[in-house]
Amino acid sequence: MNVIEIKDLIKVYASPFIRIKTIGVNGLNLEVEEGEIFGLLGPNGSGKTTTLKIITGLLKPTSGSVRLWGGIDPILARKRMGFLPENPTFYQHLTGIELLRFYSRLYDKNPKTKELVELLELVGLKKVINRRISSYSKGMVQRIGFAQAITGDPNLLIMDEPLSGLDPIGRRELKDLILKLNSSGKTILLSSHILSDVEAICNRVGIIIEGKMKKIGYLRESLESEIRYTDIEIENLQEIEWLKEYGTIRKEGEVIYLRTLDKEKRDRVIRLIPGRGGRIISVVPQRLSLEEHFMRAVNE
Amino acid sequence: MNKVFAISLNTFKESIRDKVLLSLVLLGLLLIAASKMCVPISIGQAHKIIKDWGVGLIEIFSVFIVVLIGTRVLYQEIERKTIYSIMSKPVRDWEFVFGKFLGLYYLVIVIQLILFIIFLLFTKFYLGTVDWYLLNALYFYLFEFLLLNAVAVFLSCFTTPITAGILTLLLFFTGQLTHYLKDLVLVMNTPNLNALVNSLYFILPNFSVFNVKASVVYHLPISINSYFLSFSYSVLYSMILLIISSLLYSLKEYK
Repeated sequence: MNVIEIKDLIKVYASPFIRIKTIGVNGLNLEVEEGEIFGLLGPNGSGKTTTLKIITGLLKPTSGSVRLWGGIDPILARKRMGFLPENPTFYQHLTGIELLRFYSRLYDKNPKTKELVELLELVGLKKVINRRISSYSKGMVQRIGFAQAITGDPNLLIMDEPLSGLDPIGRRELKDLILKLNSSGKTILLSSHILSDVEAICNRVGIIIEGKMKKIGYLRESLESEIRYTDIEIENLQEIEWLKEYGTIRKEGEVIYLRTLDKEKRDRVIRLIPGRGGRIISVVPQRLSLEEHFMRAVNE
Repeated sequence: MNKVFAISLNTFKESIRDKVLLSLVLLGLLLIAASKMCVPISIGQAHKIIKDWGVGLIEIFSVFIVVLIGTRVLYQEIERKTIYSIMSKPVRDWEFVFGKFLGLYYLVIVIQLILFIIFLLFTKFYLGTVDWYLLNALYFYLFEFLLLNAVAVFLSCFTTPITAGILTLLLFFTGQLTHYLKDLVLVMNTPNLNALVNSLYFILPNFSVFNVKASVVYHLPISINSYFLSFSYSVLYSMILLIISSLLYSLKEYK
């Protein structure tokens, strides 16, 4: 079942006094299935944040449709949804625990202090529950942002750049938390600039360029679909000149490394090596990284 | 209503920690105390001067609180981007607007109560007795500022805080004089102008219905009708303004 269905979405920002119009999203289509972690990628200004804000109801689409859980009432949809905005800011006068209590009430919930403490513990803020938000570091604000997004125990979590502003330990912890939340059945839609993070946590990715979905697919599928070259490690081979026909060679002591770009040549040389007295130690196909996929989509 | 209450309580807590508010309250207390200085220049009129001064000051300070804080409560949420985490939750536009309005109203009530208690203690200290009749002014102020709050929230839905502040102030002062528009209609004999002036009389908020300062200072009787009129007029007018504000707010987008 699709949790999110976006069809031909267009968002135009128009200023009321000047005739300049900016296109935020330009005919975007997207479907997010229940239980997946979907990563939205795209350069700055490509329309990622606009898309997420339209889904959460903070912006209205100019045209096209956004259907959540098949088209349920927007308030009901927001009851099942948690949102972490990009560079979030919260009420500076409240403490961590007061902030979560406030947001819980917006979901018509009245949690016990113990439950809120557990939630803060989950995001690594147990030690600062009674400190005001104004004294929190950037990383702590990001963590409390995570906590407020899950206060209503949502089925769908929408996160805009969730790992920005965090140190490597924080990134690791929150990546693990995202995976944990996903394994407990939550659907996650996130946008990120950090491609390695997307590669580490997402099942499926979509690349948005100039408001349009340029590429979409399962991460493993799209990363495995293209092999750039293959590295073959060989030993015990006396004669190596003939290998040059199949690719570039490099010799390190007794070991020969052959890099071949062509799939047919690779298969042929693998068959020939044992006949010439050589032994193949390893065959490693080098695939396109997400970054290369991304750059290719940007340049297309 | 749980959400409205949560938003209102948060708004109240946030406003109470505002430095502008603290400065205003301190200045108000100082000025109430300063009324004592007027006593020597008004021989025989000390009682009236102190009461008049105090009741008037509480009103003016409440106006400044609404203008300086009330016109910012909605704008600040957008400016500080705290709105993102509220409106992405199951909160309706009207719940947000009513919550912000009520939070501001709690603030005005608390400040007025504090100023009135201090003012009554001041009268006890300087005049020897507590004039409980002055509390009638508090009743009318509560409804006067319910309406002025609604005006401030309404204006801040579509203008900047500065413009909303100026317009709120302008409407408050012109609202004290709207009853003169009725007299103007009687003097004028131009049907078109009469229609315009009549419309203005009904559209502009009439703050003169809450003006009982002279009665409370000089212990003149206040009719039951005045109590009822101030209550019903304020509640009805405020509700209309808040409903329009909620509709205007529902058109807003949060970039």
